[in-house]
Amino acid sequence: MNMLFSLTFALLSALPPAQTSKDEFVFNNRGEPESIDPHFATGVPDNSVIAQIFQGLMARKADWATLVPGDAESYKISKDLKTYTFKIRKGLKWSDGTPLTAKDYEYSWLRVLRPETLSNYSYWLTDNVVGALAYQEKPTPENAAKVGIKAIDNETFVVTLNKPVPYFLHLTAETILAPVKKEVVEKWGSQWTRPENIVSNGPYKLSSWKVQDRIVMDKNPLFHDAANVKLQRVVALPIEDRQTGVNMYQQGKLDWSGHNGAPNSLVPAFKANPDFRIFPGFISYYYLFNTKRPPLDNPKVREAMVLTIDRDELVKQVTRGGEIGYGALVPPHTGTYGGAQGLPSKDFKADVAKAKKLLAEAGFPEGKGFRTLNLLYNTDENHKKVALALSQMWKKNLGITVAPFNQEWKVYLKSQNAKDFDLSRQGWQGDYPDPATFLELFQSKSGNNHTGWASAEYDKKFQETNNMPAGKARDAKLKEVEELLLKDAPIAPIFIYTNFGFLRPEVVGFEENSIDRPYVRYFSKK
Amino acid sequence: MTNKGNAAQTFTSEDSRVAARDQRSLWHDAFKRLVKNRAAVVGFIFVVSMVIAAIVGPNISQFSYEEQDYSRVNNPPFVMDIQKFSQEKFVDLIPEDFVKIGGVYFNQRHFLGTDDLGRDLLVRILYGARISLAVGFLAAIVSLFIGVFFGALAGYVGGFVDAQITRLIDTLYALPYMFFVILLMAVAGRSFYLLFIAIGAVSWLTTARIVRGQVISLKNSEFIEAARASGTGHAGILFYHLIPNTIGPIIVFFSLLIPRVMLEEAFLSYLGLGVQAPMSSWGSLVADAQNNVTLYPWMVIFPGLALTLTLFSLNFFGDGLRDALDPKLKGKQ
Amino acid sequence: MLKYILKRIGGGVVTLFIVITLSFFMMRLAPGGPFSKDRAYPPEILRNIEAKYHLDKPLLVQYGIYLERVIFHFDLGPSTRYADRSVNELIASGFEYSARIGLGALIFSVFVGLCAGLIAALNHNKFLDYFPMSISMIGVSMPDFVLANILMLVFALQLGWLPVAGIDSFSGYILPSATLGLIFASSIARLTRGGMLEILGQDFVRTARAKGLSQRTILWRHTLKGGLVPVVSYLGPAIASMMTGSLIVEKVFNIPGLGRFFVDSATNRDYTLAMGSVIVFAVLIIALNIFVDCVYGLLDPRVTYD
Repeated sequence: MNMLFSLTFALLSALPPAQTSKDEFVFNNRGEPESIDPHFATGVPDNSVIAQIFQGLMARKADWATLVPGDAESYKISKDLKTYTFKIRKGLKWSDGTPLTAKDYEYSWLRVLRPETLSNYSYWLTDNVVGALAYQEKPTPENAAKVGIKAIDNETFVVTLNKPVPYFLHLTAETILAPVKKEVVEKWGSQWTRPENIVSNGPYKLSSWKVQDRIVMDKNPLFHDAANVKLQRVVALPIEDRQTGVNMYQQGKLDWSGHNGAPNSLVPAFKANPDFRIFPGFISYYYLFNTKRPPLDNPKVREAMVLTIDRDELVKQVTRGGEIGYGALVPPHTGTYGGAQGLPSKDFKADVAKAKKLLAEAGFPEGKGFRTLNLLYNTDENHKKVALALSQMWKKNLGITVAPFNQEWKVYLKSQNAKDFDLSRQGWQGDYPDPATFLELFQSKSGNNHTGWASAEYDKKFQETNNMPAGKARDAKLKEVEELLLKDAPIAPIFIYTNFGFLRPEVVGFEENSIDRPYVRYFSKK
Repeated sequence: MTNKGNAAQTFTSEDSRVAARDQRSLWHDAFKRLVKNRAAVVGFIFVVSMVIAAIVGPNISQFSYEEQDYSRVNNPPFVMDIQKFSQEKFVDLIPEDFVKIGGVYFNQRHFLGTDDLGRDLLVRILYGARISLAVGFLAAIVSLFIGVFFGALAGYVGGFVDAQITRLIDTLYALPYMFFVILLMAVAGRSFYLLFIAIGAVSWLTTARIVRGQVISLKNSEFIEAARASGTGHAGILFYHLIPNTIGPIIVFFSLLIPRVMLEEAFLSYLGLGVQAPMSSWGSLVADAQNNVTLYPWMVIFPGLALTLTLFSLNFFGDGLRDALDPKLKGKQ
Repeated sequence: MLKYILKRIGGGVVTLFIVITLSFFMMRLAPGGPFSKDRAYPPEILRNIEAKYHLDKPLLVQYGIYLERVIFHFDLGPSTRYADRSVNELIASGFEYSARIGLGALIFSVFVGLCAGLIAALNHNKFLDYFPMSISMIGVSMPDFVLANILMLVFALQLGWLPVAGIDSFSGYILPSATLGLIFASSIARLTRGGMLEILGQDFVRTARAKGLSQRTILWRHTLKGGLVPVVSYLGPAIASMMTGSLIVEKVFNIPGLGRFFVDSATNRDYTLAMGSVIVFAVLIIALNIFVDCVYGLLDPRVTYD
């Protein structure tokens, strides 16, 4: 026992001196990127790398939520909020020295639309930009000319939307709409992202990528703001095992243990460590109800199940990662959005009495006659605990049996798509700081809506919010939309993830941002 | 063959069974040798005790293996100082649960402590014993049946059939085993029965080789010839004479196969492909609790010990069996 | 002898072919494909991706395309998970590290296993029999993820002698090799002990002892070669396993080796990488088995080749 006590103490006491150098930032990327083609990549490890080497029209500050000018030094929005005119900085260069102009943006955004680019996020353009959908369906030069994406001259880039999308500027700051160099892409095809071929425009450039070993990025001297980039080098390690990541941090080999780079169960212990930080994240964790399968087709049943969830106990005793028990879908503090209440329970607390009443009204007093439901989750220690805990809550309080079963990731995805479940766990991370990124999931036409729930009113109201300018009126409408969702309860919201990890005290400038993405251009070391 | 035919005529099938009976006195010798091997005996007693505990334990405990108690999460089996522990380890301890004996507070409610969902660890370990031992035993049996079938067939029939079966075995040897179990479980779903069938189906290769070797070496010995000459058919020879005489190495291999299979199940649990929650095997208990080892080590230590000691015992027992049946056997792996 | 080797190689090629076919079709049977994601692809995009990797063609056609590429160009194809890498280079880089660890593990396991087995055999049923056998028993009595974590906790975190993970320096290879080696050492120890016990019990050994030869001479000159026969035949597939890495060791010690590819490619349904890994493993085993069988003959003069 002594050995383990002293081990715990070691975790909480002074660290050995850092083994990383003063002008590099070494972190655990928690996984291997699948691709660093900004138009194609979707994973979190992918985006951590892309965010260092590419930049879009707008850029983000270290807090992720605030937009600052990127490649566009200024922009003008028309009165009807549908036309954006971006003024591209003079003298921008690619990492290979060639000039970067508005024409590169025109090429790049059209590339996102083309089917062979295989971009999963092309809908950001096809939903919002004039002529974009037609071009994607038939990418001919005639259709290209009709798309509302135009480089008027080398420094002017005009985007014409088909509705006043309130969060459009946020989209331009995301890596999906970053520029890529036409000659490089056309010359090398799918090999263009290899370190020896790639050309990019961000604060860092890709020096080397050894698969499963490390990705090294060095400062790009041609970056327009290179003078303010303090650290010379960024190294990303793909350590998946959280404990190994913590161990390496302890031995001084990492500056940052990475996004959620510590085992959940040790979070309460680590909280006391000055290097450890924990703050709200931007991922919502909830269970889907298959509303096409009785008795889950009865909203009263679903409501009853949602009201039974004791989030406080779950978060405190079971998951222990400091998660925020939350009964709504959109995380709190998303942009200016104030949050929704939904089911009439105060502060999302459990209301077992009401739940029992609802269940009886639905025809299953004390759970009699209620069939056994299955609960699908993907293989993971933490998901297992949540599933077991909630099953017990439902059994104890409502008398109904929910049997969890797990499948590995690919099989789980398939089952979810095929709606082959009664309940299923899902986690969703927002792509930009606006509630729409969550609410769009449950439109009836959304390919990511696996609940079988469809509400014309929801669809209509949600589209209205996409047509309004940002502001108080829109926030109020978003609240109405979310409350429609929560009242009908096709999902059971459970909690919002927190971000936690170890960060060396010498690192300055890594502000806590909700998606926990490092923007190393703002970092320096004491 | 005609010369031998005369001598063979004096043997009847009755005589060949007498010959088999004589072999049984060799079992007595083997038994005596086995008993002298202390490690093997201790191992055997341990395994038997574990089996009894597994059968009886969960029934007499007041706790069920799946009952979660959130007021008693991460409770240790014993502590030196209740206050200090609660503070340092972020656990809410209920003082009435503990009784002080000789300066140490022992947990009288949960003898081995609780896990991270507040479930009693002792019951889970005993229940896990059921699963682990059952999977081990059943998978080994599946492996045995398939292996004996193919091995005996190949060895006895020989020729083309033998060549094809050997080719099959060599091919299957060249496949990365884990890879296939993963795919198998993905294709066929996750049931308890599938688990040991899958493990058994990929472990029969060595059994087959051993049985084949034994059958080949015994195929032409005298008592078999006698049986054949006295008119016993092929099936009879196989079942009454050959297979019983390969029982020795088969038993040894069986007792060494069980631990190997249990380890494979532990690896599958580590990958999340083992038994479904809330069922738990020792392997899944250890795999699930890995991240807790620095703060709440009892969750890993006790199931780990149970697994390791049982495997030790099985291995020692198997080794002892093999030594005891020597010099009848060749002792090959 | 040469004819034997050629015959075996021929058989090996047939085996390899069967392995490839079996794996190919089995992978396709598993539900989910390389491109199922939680953010579902719009159908046209999905169609395009699948077309790029020929996944839209009928299964037999895909099989033909794959065989042609592998046999005539030794090209294992592009990885579906790592968009700009070819499977050849992924496997090559992974194999480099796995092979190094495997070599270390081989040295460790043979050394420890042989010593333990010999000492045990020479002291049958006494303390010096039980003790080394117990230690080597650990390898087959403890799940490898427990063993790896214990070794790492004790030697790296607690005592600080060795790095916790990563292989930047030579010392980084020690723990992973030792962990992997210990697992195989136990089997080698038992086989050595068994083989030696069998030989030592034979008549010619008694004769040698009666003649007055020293223990050491008996050991080295007369019995070791024969006693090692079972070990040698075990080493064939064992070396193949060691060289292709272990998932656990690579995960715990963060080594960019081949072992992870086996499990991850199956889980991710990365068809090309999975097939590539299977082929590498099969080639290694077949080659090593042929090699081992030839060595057999050198060790045991009773064996002949036909």
